[in-house]
Amino acid sequence: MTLHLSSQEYVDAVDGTLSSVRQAHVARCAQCRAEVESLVGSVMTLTQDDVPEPSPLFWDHFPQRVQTTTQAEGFSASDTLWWARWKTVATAAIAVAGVVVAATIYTRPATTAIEPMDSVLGALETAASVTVEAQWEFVTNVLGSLETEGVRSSLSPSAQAVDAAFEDLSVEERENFMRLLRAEMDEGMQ
Amino acid sequence: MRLGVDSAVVVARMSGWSARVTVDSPSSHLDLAAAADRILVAAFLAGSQEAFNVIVTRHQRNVYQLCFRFVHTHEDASDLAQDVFVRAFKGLKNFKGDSALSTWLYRVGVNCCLNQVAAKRPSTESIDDAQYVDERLDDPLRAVVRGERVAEVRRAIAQLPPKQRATLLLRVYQELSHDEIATILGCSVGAAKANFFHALRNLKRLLQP
Ligand SMILES: [Zn+2]
Repeated sequence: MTLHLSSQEYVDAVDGTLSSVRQAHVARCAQCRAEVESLVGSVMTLTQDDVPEPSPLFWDHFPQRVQTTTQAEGFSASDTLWWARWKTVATAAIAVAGVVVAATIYTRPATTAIEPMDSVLGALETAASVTVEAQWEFVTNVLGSLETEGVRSSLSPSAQAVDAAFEDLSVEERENFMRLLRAEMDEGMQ
Repeated sequence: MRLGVDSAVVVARMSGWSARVTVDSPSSHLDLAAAADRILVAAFLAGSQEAFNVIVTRHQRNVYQLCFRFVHTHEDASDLAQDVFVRAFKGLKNFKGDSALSTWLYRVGVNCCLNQVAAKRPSTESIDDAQYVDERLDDPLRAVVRGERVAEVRRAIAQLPPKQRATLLLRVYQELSHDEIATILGCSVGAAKANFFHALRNLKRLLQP
């Protein structure tokens, strides 16, 4: 005699995704069949309850209501800018380190053929993995999902942009940036 | 996923690479209302309040409906939904982009809702039978009977353990997959299915006369 359905298989049966072998068991087994029917009945009971629809006016005003609350609590979207700014410089540091690594690999006799751009991207990924801030993962995810051409263009900051970003940093942020940059460059040279 | 040119522009702007122009600039050609969630998150993290408003507009209905399932009144559900988005506003910088934004918002929502209902004693949870009367039904008696049944079911759901309750609501009413529910509740898919099974079973027991 085959085993009765497990709890997960009962859910599969309710969803209609149970394997044909197990369906055959349900067809033969009154106990499992009764349980499946009972579970389906419970789901049917639940689906008779609808959420009343608020007025269209409510939906129109709700985003403003949220914004007013966040502002009343002293938060604004620009509060995230310090973080984005720091991320800018951090990403610049990784990019610079990546270029250094790529240049090192390119000038060294390579044991395997490596395209320089791939090296940069690889170095970026490696560099990203050693960063302290977990949020960087998000940036690398976004950058990683761009096509090579997109990455190439997005990794071509104008000198002025980096300078301007650097100018905006506090003394402490600059020190952190320089420390990070040195660490990345040391690693790239090894 | 391949991002379009607009996305690259947002990333470039977000990172300050090629130009220090904000996405809220009137000259911006980026249509936030049509942008993907991921782009909106990036734009918000670059300081765009408008991007966050689009996120709220896009997800408010699902978040509100989830909240309503926990608290059963419009007033409480709207307060709770507001709380969810305020938390999202503060916590979006921690969103890693490894799940859909909607899934992440549901996660924030479930946490808010479970905290809210845990803070309230079950007896004080508002279960107003009158509001369940469906006026579209022709037969008032049928409507009342149905309303009573719905109230009874809601009371039974409120008695389920938190994870079973959340799983049941996400599965039946928000129609999420077991995978999504597992991500939201931070458990395995197997555990999410087992929770759903036990929730349905317990519900049946609770509804038995
Ligand atoms: Zn069986």
